[in-house]
Amino acid sequence: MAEFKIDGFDRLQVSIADMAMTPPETVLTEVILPAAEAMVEAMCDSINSYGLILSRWLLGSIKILTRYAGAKGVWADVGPDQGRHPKSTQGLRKPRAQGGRGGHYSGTNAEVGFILEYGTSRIPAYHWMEQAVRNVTDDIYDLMASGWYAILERRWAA
Amino acid sequence: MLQQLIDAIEALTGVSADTVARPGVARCAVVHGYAGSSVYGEDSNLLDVPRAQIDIYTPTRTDGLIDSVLQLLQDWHMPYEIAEQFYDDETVRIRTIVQLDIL
Repeated sequence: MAEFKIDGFDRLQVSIADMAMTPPETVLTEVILPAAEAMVEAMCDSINSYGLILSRWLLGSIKILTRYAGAKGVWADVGPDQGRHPKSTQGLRKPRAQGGRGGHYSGTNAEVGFILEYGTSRIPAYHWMEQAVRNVTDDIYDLMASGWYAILERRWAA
Repeated sequence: MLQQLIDAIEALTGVSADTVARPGVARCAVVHGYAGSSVYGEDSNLLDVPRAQIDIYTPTRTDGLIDSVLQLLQDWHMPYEIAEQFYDDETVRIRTIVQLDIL
């Protein structure tokens, strides 16, 4: 699936030391999650703009999938969930062709999103996620920068 | 430029590159262009740049067609990214998705 990662540092005039002193939970709440919510909105707008036939269920499945703040860093993942898409196939876990562990889910919202992004030999590619990322990149930079400034201004005022 | 790319890939594969993957064809590459990204040119003007997706269908992950297409892009100085490579159950082949800006 398409991936979009930014660190939000480019437009900040603050030191790494200042940012490093901020608790991860604060960064998640005030910097990462507002950006993730903007990404959810942009993805939904992109799906709507293409008028995709099966978009109703895909649209409802776009959400913040994971959020983490801890020793490994701070992040949130956004995209279609792994729930079964009602107009797709059975949504069952398929075993690997030659047995063993692993396999993959079929007929999920994430799979429908992938197919609409890249197309198949029969279905055209819409690139809806790439378009969403392109549309929202500047807003996300601004949101993350303003989140950082709000955190640091409180600290400087204290 | 997109048409030149399609023509060059057709010359590599010997099959049409502007349609969907054809059943029964062991290896082929399919090209389609789509609404592009925006980049700042050397004169600081913002340019709309079309993008292209090349789907390369091959029997194996190490098939020479993949290298041939990528080498063509390198020879033309066209930066690309391999977005995905996976076994496609629908066509029973390895599908390699390459994306690039048409500059």
